[in-house]
Amino acid sequence: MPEQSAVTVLAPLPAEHHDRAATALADLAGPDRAVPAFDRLAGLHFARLMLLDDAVSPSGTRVGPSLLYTADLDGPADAHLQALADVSGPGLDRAFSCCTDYPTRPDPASRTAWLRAHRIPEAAFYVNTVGRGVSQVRAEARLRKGLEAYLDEHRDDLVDLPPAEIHAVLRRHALTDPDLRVGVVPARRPPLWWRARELAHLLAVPAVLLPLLPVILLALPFVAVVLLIHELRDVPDRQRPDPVAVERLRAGEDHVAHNPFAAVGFLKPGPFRAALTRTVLFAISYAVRHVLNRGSLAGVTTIHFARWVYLSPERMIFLSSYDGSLESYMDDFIDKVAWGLNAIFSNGLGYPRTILLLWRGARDEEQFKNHLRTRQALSHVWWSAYEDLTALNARSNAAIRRGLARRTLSDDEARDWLALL
Amino acid sequence: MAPTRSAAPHRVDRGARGPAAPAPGPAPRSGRGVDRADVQGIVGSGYGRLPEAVFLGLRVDDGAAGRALLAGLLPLVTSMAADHGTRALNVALGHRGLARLGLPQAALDQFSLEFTGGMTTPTRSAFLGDEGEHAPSTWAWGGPTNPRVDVLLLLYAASDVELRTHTEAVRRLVPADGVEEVVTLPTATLAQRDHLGFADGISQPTVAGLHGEGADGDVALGEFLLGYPNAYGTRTGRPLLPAAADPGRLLFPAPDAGTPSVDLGRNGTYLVARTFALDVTAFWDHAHRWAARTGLPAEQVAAKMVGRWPSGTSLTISPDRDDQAHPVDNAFRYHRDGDALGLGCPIAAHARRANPRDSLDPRPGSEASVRVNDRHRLLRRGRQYDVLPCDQDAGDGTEADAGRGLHFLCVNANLSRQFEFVQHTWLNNPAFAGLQDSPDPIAGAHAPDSGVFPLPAEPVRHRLLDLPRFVRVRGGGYFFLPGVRALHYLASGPSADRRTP
Ligand code: HEM
Repeated sequence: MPEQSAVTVLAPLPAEHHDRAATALADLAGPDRAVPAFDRLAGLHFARLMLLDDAVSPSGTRVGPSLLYTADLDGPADAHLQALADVSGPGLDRAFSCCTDYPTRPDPASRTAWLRAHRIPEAAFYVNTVGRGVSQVRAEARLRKGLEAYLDEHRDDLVDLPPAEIHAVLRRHALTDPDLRVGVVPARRPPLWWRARELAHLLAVPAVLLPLLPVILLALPFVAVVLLIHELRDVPDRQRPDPVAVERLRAGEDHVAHNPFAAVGFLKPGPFRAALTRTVLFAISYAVRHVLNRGSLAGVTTIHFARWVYLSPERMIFLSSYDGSLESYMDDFIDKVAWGLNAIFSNGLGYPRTILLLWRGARDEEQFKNHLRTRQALSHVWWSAYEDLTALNARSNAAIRRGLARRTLSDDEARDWLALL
Repeated sequence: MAPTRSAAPHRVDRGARGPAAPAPGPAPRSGRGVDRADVQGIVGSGYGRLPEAVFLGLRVDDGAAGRALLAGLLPLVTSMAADHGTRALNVALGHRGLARLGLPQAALDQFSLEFTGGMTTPTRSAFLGDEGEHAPSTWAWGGPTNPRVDVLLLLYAASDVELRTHTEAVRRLVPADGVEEVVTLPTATLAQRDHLGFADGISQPTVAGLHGEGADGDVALGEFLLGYPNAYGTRTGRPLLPAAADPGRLLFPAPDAGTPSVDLGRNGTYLVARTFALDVTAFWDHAHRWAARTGLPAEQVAAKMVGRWPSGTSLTISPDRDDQAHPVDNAFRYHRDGDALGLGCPIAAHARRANPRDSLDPRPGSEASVRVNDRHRLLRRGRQYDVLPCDQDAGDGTEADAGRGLHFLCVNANLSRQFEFVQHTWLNNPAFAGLQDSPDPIAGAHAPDSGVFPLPAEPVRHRLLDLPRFVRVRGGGYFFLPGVRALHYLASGPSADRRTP
């Protein structure tokens, strides 16, 4: 069972090549979808290419356009870069050849070197279920389909059996079918060294912070006051999103079970917000690594992957792949994790007014939705390894496999298990 | 205060400025309760006591003529306060219609994006599932090839004869030039059962302030009327005009605006209209086919798809049989009342997904779950029809189903979070609540003969495969259903200081 990694590659784009790059990405999303051959990259969950438009920072500096490649994948990131440079070479060339320092005569080695040179770190990376790899997701989807088909055919022969016996019959059936055989053994657990490393990190962070606790507690009231003063001075966005821009974004949404989301924005200026953002991201990254790593991001069960990345010290991008429509995604945010969203996104310019970081903010439904739509960026090229599966589907498929992999179940256990099908 | 009624509707000169029907006096500057005389009656009820109805679609080519029409109609418009008698009339307006009537661009732009763009923009069609043979280009009304419907008139009456007189009276108010009736949608006499044989319109949200004083657990008024706090305690965006644009003080002041403003949206809401042709034969064929395969009675298979028994009895309360004697129950919840797995009412059933009650996150079975659920409620006001006269596509009328269907109407203040969410995320979504490949069997968009309907059973579920599409979308539109004062305001036309350049 592989652990998941993120790859983020950011390359500045000379302004005069903006349109050329846009056309290249449009082709890669449309007629030339097959060119990057993402489906040939083992262990790739999601990949995207996007063109970030130029912008002016709050301090008045012009930020030129850039190209971004991101991937959510199984196994080490560097192995992915190498495979990408090889298998997806033609696609990379099409997308990035407008960048000044892209190799003029690209080959796998020069592309890899270029990708490595432009890789930037993620400030936080959320994985819906740590350890569940692409091949597992796909195998378990096949398993469910196979079992469902068997039940469709043989229901009449089974209904009079005790539930535990039905489980046994399905297990025997899975053993005879090469497509389903994976289901009779449990998914592999993460290797011992990996679990040890995670445990060490889980403990080390509090251990280091514990001695600082008195200082933190003493400082907290002062931080709160400073924060309140900052919040009073904040200027929330008032504008509604441009209907034409919304149409363009909508055109790229709701074609398969999930959607790509991307939002780009500047941080509120000043060292206080800068430090607060770092702190919150640190907390998020600790939480998603050790606590929120089993199918739910604080109550939201529809996010496959998400990441926060600094494009520059004052500009951030948030990227995710989520199930359902943007409206339902935003509703989930507001209804289930408004406080969590506020904690991080209220450091961005124009966010609806918060009170002490966690309150109000996203609960201002309309302002929040307008804010997200105005900050949303188009994910020009987006690829998913399992287009018709939601995160909940993948989770229930995994539960079906866990049950099937057990040699015997009691009648009660088998009854619960059968309800998954 | 109630708009004064003039004895006989009188015609207004084209181009006349100022209110034609005696306008209501200045709006109270403050007021907490709902002014029921300002809310159109269809928000408060579906006019169950008036079994006959017809819907008329009008195109406005000339603003002054359109305003004259509104002015003429005003004395006939039924408010919630005046919801008695043997006739009713309500008036809804399309976005283009509002522009024709002279509403300035700045005000037009403040309506929701869904209403502004309309039901038939390509991305919206894809979102709602209006594609292929359901695409607006194939529609009988409301599509890009059909005449534009700027004004939708909903007429109700106690009898057939009464409806005819009512319709004639309304038609007489349509100016000869500049306004044209382009769609006529007759409806079937209101009946106990719909075409499929099921009682419909049973479950409706209880709205604080509309139905009684407002009790715990009621849905916030702002979910169904603009200008009031919604489920998040804020007021949904709507057109606010500078106070100077309303010298007659017809409109209510807007409490949540930065500068002195009046509220054109207050006591108004959005009306969704969708015309669905129903293939009743295909529905019962499917039910019988799977009854034979599963060994269940056909009526039960059909009820499982609908989510209630034909009489309206809840499948959760009475899983095994229809109970005509039992009063129709609507206080139940799926998880709390022991139906978490859908052994009574399947998770994929139409009524359960159109209102999952306490089925979804957070914490199914909890009050929190219901609270989140209640941010997606609809007031349904539809009527059945037997013929769709404007339908070129309905076949030659020899087959049993030519033309039958439902004019689905619903009222909500936030099209995106309410109607569109329900249609897309709950009905169309094949992965609703963790399901796989299971769109709503009645009203969900899916490719014909694809999709499954899982019918939970112990110890092994049934699955109904190859789900046909029983419903075909034949028309529709998004409309603004203004408050009565707003209608007066619109009828009075652009004054000098708010005229479009
Ligand atoms: C031709 C299409 C349709 C038919 C035949 C139909 C029929 C029914 C029936 C028989 C019921 C159960 C009775 C009741 O609770 O009132 C029902 C409930 C309901 N339907 Fe539909 N319906 C259709 C389309 C739609 C659409 C398109 C929507 C929304 C977008 C919708 C929303 C609802 C809601 C909200 C309920 C109430 C559920 C509850 O509160 O328990 N229906 N429908």
